[in-house]
Amino acid sequence: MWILIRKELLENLLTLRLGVALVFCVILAVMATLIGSLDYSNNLDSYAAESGNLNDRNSQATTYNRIDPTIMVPPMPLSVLSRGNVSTSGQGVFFGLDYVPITAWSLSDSVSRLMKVLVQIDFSTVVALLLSFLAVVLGFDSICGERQRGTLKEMLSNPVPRGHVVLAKLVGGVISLCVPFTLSFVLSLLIMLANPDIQLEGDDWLRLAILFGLSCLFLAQIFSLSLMVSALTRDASTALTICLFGWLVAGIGYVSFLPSMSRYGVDEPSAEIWLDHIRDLREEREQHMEEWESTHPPPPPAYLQSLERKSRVRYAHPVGFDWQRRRTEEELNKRLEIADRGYDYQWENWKPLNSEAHLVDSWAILSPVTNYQVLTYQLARTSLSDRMRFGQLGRDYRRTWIEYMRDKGVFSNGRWFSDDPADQEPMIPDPEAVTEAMLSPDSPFMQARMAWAEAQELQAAEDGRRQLDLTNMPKFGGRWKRTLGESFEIMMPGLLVLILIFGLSALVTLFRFDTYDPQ
Amino acid sequence: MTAVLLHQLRDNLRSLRFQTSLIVLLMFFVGNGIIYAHKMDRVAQEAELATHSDESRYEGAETLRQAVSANYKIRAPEAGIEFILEAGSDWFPYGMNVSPESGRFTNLSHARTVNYWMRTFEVMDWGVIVRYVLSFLCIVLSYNAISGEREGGTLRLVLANPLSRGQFLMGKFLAHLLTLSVTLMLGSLISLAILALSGVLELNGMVARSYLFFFVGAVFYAALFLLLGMGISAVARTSATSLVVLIMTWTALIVVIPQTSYLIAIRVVEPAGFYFDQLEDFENQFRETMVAEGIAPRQPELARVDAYALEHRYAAKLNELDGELNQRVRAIEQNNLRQFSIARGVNLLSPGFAFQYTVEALLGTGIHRFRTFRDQANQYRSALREFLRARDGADPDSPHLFFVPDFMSDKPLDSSLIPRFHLQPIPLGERLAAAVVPLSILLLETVLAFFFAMHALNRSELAAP
Repeated sequence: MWILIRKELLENLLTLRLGVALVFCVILAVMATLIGSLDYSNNLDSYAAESGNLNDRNSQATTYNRIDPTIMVPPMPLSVLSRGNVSTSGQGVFFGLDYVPITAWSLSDSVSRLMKVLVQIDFSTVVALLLSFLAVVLGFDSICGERQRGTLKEMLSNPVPRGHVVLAKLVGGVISLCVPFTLSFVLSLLIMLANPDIQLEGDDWLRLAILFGLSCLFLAQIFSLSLMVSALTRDASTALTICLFGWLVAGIGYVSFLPSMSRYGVDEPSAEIWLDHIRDLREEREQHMEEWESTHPPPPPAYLQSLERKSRVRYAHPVGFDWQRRRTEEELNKRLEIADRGYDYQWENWKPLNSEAHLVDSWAILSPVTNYQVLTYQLARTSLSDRMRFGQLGRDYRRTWIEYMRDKGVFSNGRWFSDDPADQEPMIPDPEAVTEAMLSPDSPFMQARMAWAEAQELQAAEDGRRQLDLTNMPKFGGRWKRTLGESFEIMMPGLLVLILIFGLSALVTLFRFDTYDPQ
Repeated sequence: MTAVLLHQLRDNLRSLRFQTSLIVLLMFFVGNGIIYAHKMDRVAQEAELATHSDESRYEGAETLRQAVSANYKIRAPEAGIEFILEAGSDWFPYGMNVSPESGRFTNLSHARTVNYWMRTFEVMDWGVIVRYVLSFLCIVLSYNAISGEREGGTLRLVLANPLSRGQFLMGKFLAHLLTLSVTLMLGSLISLAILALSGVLELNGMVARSYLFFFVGAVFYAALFLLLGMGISAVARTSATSLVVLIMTWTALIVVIPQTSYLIAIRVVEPAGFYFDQLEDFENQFRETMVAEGIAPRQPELARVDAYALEHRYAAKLNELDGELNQRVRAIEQNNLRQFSIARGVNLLSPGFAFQYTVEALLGTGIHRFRTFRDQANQYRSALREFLRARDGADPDSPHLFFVPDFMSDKPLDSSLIPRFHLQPIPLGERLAAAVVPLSILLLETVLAFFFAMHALNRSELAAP
């Protein structure tokens, strides 16, 4: 048995084709990882910049309506090897009072829309296409080729069971495939380690080990498939034709074929329908507020004068402030109610789009190559399902955030839009004495009052009482990364299919070879 | 030479390789026909809905004031040849929100539903089929053109005839090219037939012209890969080595190079980032300064007293803001276009994209179409403002504070007179000019491949060692 394996190994490893393929694979794999690693650093920088901006803006906020509750997470380290749907960029869930989020967005989506037509490479694509091709080339003439050369007959004249010959071919082939793969994998790993931005943490090392095993299993599967073709055919050129076209359809065809098919299977509804609903909701809100204002008439304009900067109101007269406070409370409650309905409308519209994208992942098991690719995405936690999961956590966090503000009474005590302390002197202390002409923006009276407000504004920056107390604000602490167990759960169907195809093709080869005519 | 050609043709038709190629190519084209019949139908339905909603915004404008404060959405219609080349019609923002009001900026948006979750995939138009499948078939047909004959011992026999090596090469090459061209034509005609029969495609001069351009481009592209295959097959010692070298080269050229362009482009030209925040900040700051300087509009009745002196200053300021905002948006768009053209430059290193961009330019689609749309859409805003200004000027009662809604004419307006947006096609001259660079690269590569194949064959051994 060992002699047979050694023979296969020597035969494979010493050929020129393996040498050429090895050089190509290693160069391309290293290039892909290098690109991924550079891209990762870029994206980590932009994540740091974005989240830094966010924190800056939030720390300057003195009213709650200026707080941007967006949650952002850094890129996944393993995305360097397997970009998937999430890619190497960080993710963010953007939401607000009016908007319930559906999904997480890549932070690099701020890159121009033009660039979205471009496809990017990663290590797992190189393995899926190039190394699988190598597996095809090693396997296709392994049995029928030996028959044609006459060496099969010689070998079978020795007292070895036929099953051993097949097993030896399988083991020898897989080991020879693992040589270029291991080399590319180790070099890629070194590139990742050389980049100080990439911090492997938690179970990342375990995942890398699983990725290694998974890739070897994938290569064994492809090799076993082409060995099966070789055992089912009589001459090498037929076997090659079948294998090459099989590889083309499974590898290249499916990249564009599956998404097109899933587009065909799902009816994409027009965004116009949803946008119309959103417009209607906005009108409903405006109408609701008009109705409220007709039953709660505002005080005369002089009471409502205030300094409005960055949607923050200061120095309003207490009467005007109180009216505005009640109006805001009414409006915020309406906005919260409308947000939920808006989400329903949007989800109704986007659900087909989402299931269309999910279909690609679930149909990927149809082709051994795409199956492997999707498995690596799920392992690297960059699949669509990981992105949607983070979106779900964002939705949960929005609820916590709103609960928190409700508990603090933000919606009803005016803290939403104003940071004035209770004893703040108003901009117009005696509104009764002000005529309409005085309220014109170019009147000397208004100019004087504005100048006063501006001066106050400068002092207010140092007033500690205006600062928001955010110490108790709930932080986003959801376990946004899947644990290994959860990842395995979604990988299960793909893994089963992978093993099934491997086992079946090996069995077919074994049985077929038992009756194979070496003449 | 004719004898070689005919012999090779007969061989091709009989071989399993060719028959499988035919089936695979036809399968892809039939798939393309079915998928695009569905997609074009859906897109047409959506476009109808969209036109309706866009038109209702114009119809809602009953007075000049309403016409100025309205938000119009303009869109480029589908090119109608997406099944040949999708060329970014899914991703390029072929829509624009236009408001004539001062202090608003135009921003590009998508013209139809876009599935962001599907962003990492390629489509299945003819361009993709040719780029990937046809070039692959070229390699599969030609990888043992010379080495196979050498291994079989027939090479020496053939060249013993009064036949130059050049003639031998040309004969084989033309036979392969002919087989593939006929297959390609068959496939694409089937796809056309499916689309025409399902009623989504009208076969007119534009489609015929596009078909012709596409076909000629594809034939050159196929020639390049056939010659490359024959050259390598003459150099390689065995057919197996030739195949491995060819497939690896093919993967590098067709799959890998185009996939690196993104990263190179965003490293050369910085992405604009979330520029909406910056624009908003700028606008807020500008408006706050205006308020602080006391430049704010009064009630129209109050303002009439001093002939709108303050409001004129307000309108002038807003106009300044308008110019500044739109200038910034233009600069960002320009930056994005520059970034994309870097990516195109990288892609051009791949023959696949030399082919793709040649056909895109000739068909007037892809980035050329987008750039044209952007330019014309921006001009449309000026035309719209020009029209509204002229209308307002004709009303003696109006305060003539242009593009400040409350201070324009409130006389009724016939909304059907408001100019609408129509995308003008790119003139043929411009299309040809745009095709010069990718086309010369494609031709140059083909010529180089030809000389390489000639040279390789001239120096190759006639018999296997």
